[in-house]
Amino acid sequence: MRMKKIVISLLICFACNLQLTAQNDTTHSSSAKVYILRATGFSGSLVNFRAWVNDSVICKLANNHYSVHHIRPGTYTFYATSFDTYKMQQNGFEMQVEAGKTYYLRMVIKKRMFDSFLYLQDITENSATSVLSKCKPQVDCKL
Amino acid sequence: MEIKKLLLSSLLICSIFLSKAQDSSSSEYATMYIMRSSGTMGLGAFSAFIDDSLVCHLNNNRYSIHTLDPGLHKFQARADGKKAKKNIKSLEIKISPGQNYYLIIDVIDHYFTGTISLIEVTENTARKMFPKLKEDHDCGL
Repeated sequence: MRMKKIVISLLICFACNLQLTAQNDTTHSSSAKVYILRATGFSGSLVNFRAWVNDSVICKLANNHYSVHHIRPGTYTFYATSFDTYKMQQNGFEMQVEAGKTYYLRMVIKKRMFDSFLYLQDITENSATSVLSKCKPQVDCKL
Repeated sequence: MEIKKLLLSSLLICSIFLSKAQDSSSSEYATMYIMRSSGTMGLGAFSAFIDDSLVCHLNNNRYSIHTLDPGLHKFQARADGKKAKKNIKSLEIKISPGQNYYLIIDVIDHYFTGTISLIEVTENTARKMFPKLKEDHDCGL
């Protein structure tokens, strides 16, 4: 009798686990995968750059690192800032995110005469693979 | 009079067919945009190469347009020079007919040097860059 109970409880556990994994898969297929890559060279290499989606920070990225995010479909504005700069309209990157697609956003520093400008660039998978090969995944986004 | 009308109409039809044929031939090729917006990094014109041949000396805040045959092509950028170098990593892209491709000449600074490379960006990024750039027609060649 006890054996029967154990077997039944194990079966229930197994069924629940299957259902949960199925739910995870469906949620991932209904969202978009966004890679944020940072390989900005020597400039600002000691500082973690912040990646924003609309009004919230999603990751603080170290140099030569990348992070992966699952985002619901919709239109978003992505920003990249340093610890001492604020998100501005001019460094915002507005993008329509579609379900099931993968996007690669690369942090870029543009040096100007008296200051430098940090922004995000949407790159293709072909270029992203060569950048990703130089980067490590950011395990902790330090939020 | 009728012969004249017939001749004119046949000429018209021929010209329509010819223009359509020209349209289809232009879509057999792909268009490659090479852009540069590298700020104060690198004062001179950078050299862009397609399949080891120099196609453009590109200044800052400029872009050039190139027509390409479909197939696998090799792209490279250097700070200067007329010949592509084997030790510089080139970007390979499989070109499909009728498509637009956008490449950015990117400069990354290191401790004492800088690296110039080509990055393929999406149309969304390119569209945001174009208003700030000017077209380079002669490419300094």
